[in-house]
Amino acid sequence: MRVYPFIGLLLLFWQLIAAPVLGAEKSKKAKAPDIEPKAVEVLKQMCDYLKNLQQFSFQAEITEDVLLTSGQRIQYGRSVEAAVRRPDRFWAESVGDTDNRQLFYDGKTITLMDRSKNFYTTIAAPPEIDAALEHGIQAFNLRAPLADLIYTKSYEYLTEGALSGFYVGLSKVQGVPCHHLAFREKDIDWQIWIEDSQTPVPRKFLITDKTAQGLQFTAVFTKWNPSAQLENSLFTFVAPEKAEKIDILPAAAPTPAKKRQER
Amino acid sequence: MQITKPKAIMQKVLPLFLSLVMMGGLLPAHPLENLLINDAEAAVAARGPGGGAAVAGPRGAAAVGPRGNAVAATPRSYVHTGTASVTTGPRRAYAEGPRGGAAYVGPRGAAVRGPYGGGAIVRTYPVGARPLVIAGATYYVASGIYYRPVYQGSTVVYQVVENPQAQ
Repeated sequence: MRVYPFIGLLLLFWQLIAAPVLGAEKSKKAKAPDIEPKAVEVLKQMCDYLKNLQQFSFQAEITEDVLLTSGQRIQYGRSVEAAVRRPDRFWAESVGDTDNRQLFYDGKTITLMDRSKNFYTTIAAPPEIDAALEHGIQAFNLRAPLADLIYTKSYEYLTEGALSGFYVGLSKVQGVPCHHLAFREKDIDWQIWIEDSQTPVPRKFLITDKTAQGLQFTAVFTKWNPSAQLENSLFTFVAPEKAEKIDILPAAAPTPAKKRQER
Repeated sequence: MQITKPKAIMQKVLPLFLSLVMMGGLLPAHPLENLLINDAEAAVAARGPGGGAAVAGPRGAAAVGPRGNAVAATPRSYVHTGTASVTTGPRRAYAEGPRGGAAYVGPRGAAVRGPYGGGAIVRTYPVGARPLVIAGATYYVASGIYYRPVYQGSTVVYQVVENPQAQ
């Protein structure tokens, strides 16, 4: 029986030392992304345009696949409204089939409010949108699939993991002429439709998760307001009556034991 | 650690080889899982009232060690309870060790949690659970199991906790 601690040590060694080293070797060998210049140009235009908007708001219809335990794929929908005031205010509300959630960022804290359950939680956050959202995603596993679009460094974030990308062609989203771009990453493929005009906003964003049987996330942007006048109060959370503050679990680092089960 | 005798080779080198093969993902299942679950069983039995628990559902089993850590999960069906609280249903099973470690087996797999992370997480509390406010905090109680609402990522989920009134 004495060999089992030994195997445990080996597993630990693998997780802590061998795997990261091998991973690092792999990333060194990674090729430069193969992105068509036309796709780069259109994507950059959008990112520069959004980056320079000081205050804006948008509405989007989001559909998202989930897998039932039977393996059947079901699509859920929700309407999202979001407002951004650079550099340090962000607000979003999502109204789904069964739930109603809000996110408030006021430059100091991020508050998540579940209006259907009447629970909320608050975390301290850095004083700038990019860093605050990144902190929420890294430290607390917040889900923010549209965050990549509102970062000031959105171009870098969007193309960070891209292996390839190309310009598909001109397309219409809800009647609006758009450039259609398609990109590939290791775990996901994503496509974006960017308005072909002086206001190159995204009109549609689609992510296909290749690790989860091709589950898709789609956002169709129904309304853009590039010159919104946004008051402080919109971004400031005031707890509704009887709402209860609850804890948020920190993002757990994967442990060897967990890894072992995932196989 | 000098390996000379054939028996020692079997004991030391074979598990090493198997674990390397396993890490390479070449074998679909852990060839030593029976031994591992037996090991857990032995630990539970040996420590007695000190703690430790194993639990099984129709699709697998999980074990919690005497110090609240998770020991093993396996597709075998096997159940052993120490002093830990154990709940089983037709589709899922849950065990919590005396030091806060927990094991959960559901229809889609198993999850384990160490002694410092709290209890297992479920997306919804059981049908028929009743809300209970203790010291200003809401809990949901079903079959003697207490669930507290907590954010996991952007979603409110429910975490199994010890009876907050008993602490």
